Amino acid sequence: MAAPATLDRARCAWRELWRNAAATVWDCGPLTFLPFDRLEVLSERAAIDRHWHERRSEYRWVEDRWTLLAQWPTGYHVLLAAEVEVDLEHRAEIETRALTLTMVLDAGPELRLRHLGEAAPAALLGMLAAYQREALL
Amino acid sequence: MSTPAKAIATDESVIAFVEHYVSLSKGKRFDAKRALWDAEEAQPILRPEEASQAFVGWPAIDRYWSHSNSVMRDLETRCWGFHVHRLSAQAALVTYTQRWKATLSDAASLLSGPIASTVRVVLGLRDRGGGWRIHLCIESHVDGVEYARALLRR
Repeated sequence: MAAPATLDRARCAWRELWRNAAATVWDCGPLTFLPFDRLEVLSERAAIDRHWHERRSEYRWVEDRWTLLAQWPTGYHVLLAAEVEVDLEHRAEIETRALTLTMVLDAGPELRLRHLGEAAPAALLGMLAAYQREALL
Repeated sequence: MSTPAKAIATDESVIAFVEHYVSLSKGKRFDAKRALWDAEEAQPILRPEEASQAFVGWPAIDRYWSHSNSVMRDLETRCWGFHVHRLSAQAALVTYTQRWKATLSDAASLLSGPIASTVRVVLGLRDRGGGWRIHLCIESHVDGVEYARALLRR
């Protein structure tokens, strides 16, 4: 199971993005970002920064809770998967989102993020599954 | 959402592997798909788009595929828009977009017609010497609250 240091670094990288410290987080090589709030794969740094800027104008990060699922060191990088519950403030209301995050971090001392995936349950299928569960009760 | 386009050939061997894996959805060839996962992986992870949490470990993943096989009459999936991160000579992370279309087995169901969705996929791959194998697969749509807000804005 995980070295806590890797989970701490992953948590730190994600929080830095919420705090508008992108310059200290993203790697300078090829990037991928799959945001939970848009059905796209963003790979251009400018588009990624723009999306985070828009997101921060909509939401304020309040708190998050992480559970590491697995990590796979690959030499220069670490691939990590974690379940995250994040509390976000949206128009004076606190909303909680449950996400599965995937991250590729540089294995060195610098905090460098090459990939960030934020997976949320699907809208329509999630609702249908909930209705199906209800019918079985 | 962009329209399907020709795959970006950032790493053709990885992309060819993924295209083959995705093509096995046709005919619900779940056993063949499982054979392309890394059987030696202690902590395989699969998160289908409809799941509220990831399935971790072989028993949970096998149960999901078995359930999928029983509830679907047929399934077809296509993929495009690959980005390949080569993490080492033996490890890669791939992101792509896929569209699936399925018909459910229960013809009397509310969903007797085909259903379909477009999702993004993150695939973790490694090669232990026998070719690429999967150890991580995360599908993601857009968050439900965001989806509802986007509908309201239209």
